[in-house]
Amino acid sequence: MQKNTFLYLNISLLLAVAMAFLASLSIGNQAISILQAIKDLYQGNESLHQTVVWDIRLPRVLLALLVGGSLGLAGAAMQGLLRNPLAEPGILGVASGAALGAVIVLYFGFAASAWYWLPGAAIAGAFVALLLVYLLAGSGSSVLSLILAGVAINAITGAMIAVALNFAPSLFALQEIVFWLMGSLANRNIHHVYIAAPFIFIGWFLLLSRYRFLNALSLGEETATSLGFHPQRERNILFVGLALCVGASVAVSGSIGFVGLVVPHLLRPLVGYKPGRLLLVSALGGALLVLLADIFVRQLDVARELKLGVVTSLLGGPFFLMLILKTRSRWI
Amino acid sequence: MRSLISLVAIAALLFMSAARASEHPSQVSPQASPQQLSSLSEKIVSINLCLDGLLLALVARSRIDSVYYLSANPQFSPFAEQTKGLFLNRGLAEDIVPRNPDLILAGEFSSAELVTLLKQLKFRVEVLALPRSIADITAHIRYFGKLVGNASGAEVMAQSIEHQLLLLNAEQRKQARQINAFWYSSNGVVVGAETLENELMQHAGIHNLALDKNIIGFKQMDLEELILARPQVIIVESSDIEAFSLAREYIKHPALQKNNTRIIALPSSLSVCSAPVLADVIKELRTQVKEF
Repeated sequence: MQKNTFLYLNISLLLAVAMAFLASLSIGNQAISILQAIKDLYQGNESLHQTVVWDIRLPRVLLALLVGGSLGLAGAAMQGLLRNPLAEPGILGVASGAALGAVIVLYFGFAASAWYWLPGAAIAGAFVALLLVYLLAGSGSSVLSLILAGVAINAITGAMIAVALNFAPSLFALQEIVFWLMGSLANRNIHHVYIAAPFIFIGWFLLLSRYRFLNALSLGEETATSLGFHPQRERNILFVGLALCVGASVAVSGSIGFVGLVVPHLLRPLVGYKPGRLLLVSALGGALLVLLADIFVRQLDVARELKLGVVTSLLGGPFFLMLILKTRSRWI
Repeated sequence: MRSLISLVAIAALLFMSAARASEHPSQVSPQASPQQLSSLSEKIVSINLCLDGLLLALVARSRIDSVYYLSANPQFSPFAEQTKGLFLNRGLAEDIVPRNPDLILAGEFSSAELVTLLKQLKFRVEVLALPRSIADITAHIRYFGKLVGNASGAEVMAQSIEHQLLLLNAEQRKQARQINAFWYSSNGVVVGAETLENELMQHAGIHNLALDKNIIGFKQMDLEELILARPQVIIVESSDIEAFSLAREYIKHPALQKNNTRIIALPSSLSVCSAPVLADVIKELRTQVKEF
């Protein structure tokens, strides 16, 4: 029975994502027919429909899918791994670590030498931040110490991003801090999809493949060990998976906050509180949330659109507060 | 050029200004005679990139005390080579006051606080309004010439520009075909009516599609809207030395090159401070459009 519920949940989320995907391709600033665009693509005609749908909208929609999926999945994996309900790539500074790596290679010209430099540096940044959080707070630490470690890492990386942009050779650089701290999918092109997708897929695979360990870990590290898992090895794999997902996502979209917090929390009761099962549904839920948020920001002010991270933070901020109030009694 | 202007800080530096006010402060008008012309300034400081360009062209190096630091950066300045050996100021009072200059040249968008401070300290600061039309430019150059004590040199420069424009105008009448285009800048900004760029496009026989959309001055435009207006040509500003920014990624979007749209890249020597090279910009645009 429960297995069926899980299946239905996944199917309905998948359908919702597919619908949001199509809606996102069809809804835009200008009225354009997707059917015409598909026809033109099929017949090999170069047309305005084709350019708008395939060159402008598609990269953005694909990135929403990849980045949203990564953030949702990463949130669920971090919460399972750290056994902490408030763990999330944005709150714990992993996303800003990735942004710092990306900023350094992009604005100082290193990224131009080879395509893998940008995602590579962002992944390294995410990995270092993740490691620092883990060392500072440790596994199974109190909510408070984890959040404080995140605040500290966020503050340091945020300041370092500002310093890097301040010394960047382009005079536009400092203004663009908003992109790195808030995230956006505006004006992205298909190359951004190409450079992020391979790393994101590997990351997804690594995280999703650890579902058994996360289920076992929810019973405690000793139980997990007695069940035959090597916690250290499993943890390393999860770290690498998290860094790949979050790093590659942030490299092309900036850090979009709170997706990894809101989505797993909303879905957790629906999967019977099993961390392993939460992974896949959170990926789908994250993709759905970012797709919808991206459709929303495009409706407000077309040219100077609101940053995507602003919308997710407006949703996630109050949610975060609510969670704090709910868990407050357990902190002391 | 717009790559610089859309940045507020840089807007302060340029001749071809981002503002779209049509009223010009009296300083530019040729009738207004600069005060204190009796003595020739011997220690001139400029805190504006494009004023630096005119200064280097019209004034002996021995009289130039300092130029704005961006003028030495080849990413923005076509005359970076010529600034070698000159003191570079960052537009800060600390840089300027100790040098005790007898004339400080500022653009209308230079820091107002700095100008006020320097005036309070009894320095002679001349704030020049920046040209917004082709007609402004020659007046601007003549006024500049009087300010720095080389009216005859400025007159030669202005007349040469006027002469070249006359020749170009005569040539334009022969041209029949109109090309539809956008001038597309960093951050996805298009250039509309009441701008120097728009006038340059007209002189090159190019129809600015932004006018059909009633855009005045500078405005961000969504990429979809831009593509669906079917531009035959998109004019962008390029630079040999290009530092990464998201703002510059806009003009590199692959969608711009589809549907037989042609990209015309204006080199920074033509697009950063266009005033002295007006005719060259028009010529370049025309040549590129002709090949189309």
